[in-house]
Amino acid sequence: MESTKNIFVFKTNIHTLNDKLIVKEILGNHHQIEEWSVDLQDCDKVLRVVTPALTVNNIIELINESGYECRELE
Amino acid sequence: MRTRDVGKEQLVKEQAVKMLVAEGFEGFSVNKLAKACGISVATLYIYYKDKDDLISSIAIEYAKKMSNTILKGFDPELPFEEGLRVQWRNRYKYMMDNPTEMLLFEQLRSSPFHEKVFTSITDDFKDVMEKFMKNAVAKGEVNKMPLEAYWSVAYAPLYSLVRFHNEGRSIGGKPFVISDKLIWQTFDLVVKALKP
Repeated sequence: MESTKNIFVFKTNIHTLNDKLIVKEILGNHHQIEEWSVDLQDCDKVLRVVTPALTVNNIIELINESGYECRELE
Repeated sequence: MRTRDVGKEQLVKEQAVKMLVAEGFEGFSVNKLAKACGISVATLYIYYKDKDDLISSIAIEYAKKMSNTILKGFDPELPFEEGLRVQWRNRYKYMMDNPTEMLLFEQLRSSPFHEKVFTSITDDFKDVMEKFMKNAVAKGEVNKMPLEAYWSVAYAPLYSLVRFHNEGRSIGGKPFVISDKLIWQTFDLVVKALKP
């Protein structure tokens, strides 16, 4: 298990593989994102982002830009 | 920065194994696990990427634990009967102490996680086991035979007995409880069968 300081998790409406591909366009090419994944099997479609510099709000903006919604999981 | 809570981590792993065994891989969810452990879903996602990552990480950890337990005090250079005895003792103890983990491994065997989990341990483990058998053949303690034939005689009887015990019945539904006496009686037969 890695250190927890730069990992953020969100509930999203990224439901399908196609949705995930659209999100990938932005997250996959972002130089501040080390790692990201969406658990499509989970009811909250949890997005997990590992980043050295981005904030929660930065990530929410990126997801909104892709046309999806997300909010941080408490 | 958060600190790791080792007690909680252990609880998560044990609870995950229990739920996987009770509900299968399909029925299992990160949400349910979080609820059962009294922690937030977010915390679980800090540690694991997704459901598949959680299942395979935990399974790999338990598979490594099993392999370490089975190799404890064992040396492939041991005389055959002595080495096999250590193997039987370790495997027997592991199975009796960890029945839930054994059920998990059985489920894994027929799942898509199989390869990922078992290749993680088989390198070391398989090398040691094969070396032990080859040494025994080279020293003339065991007849040369295919690995599968060897395994079916050397270890499968132990697994059968433990399975009867776990199911509480043997052939034809006859009630069954395992005993050390029966284990070692069977062991002697196995040694006899494998000796040239």
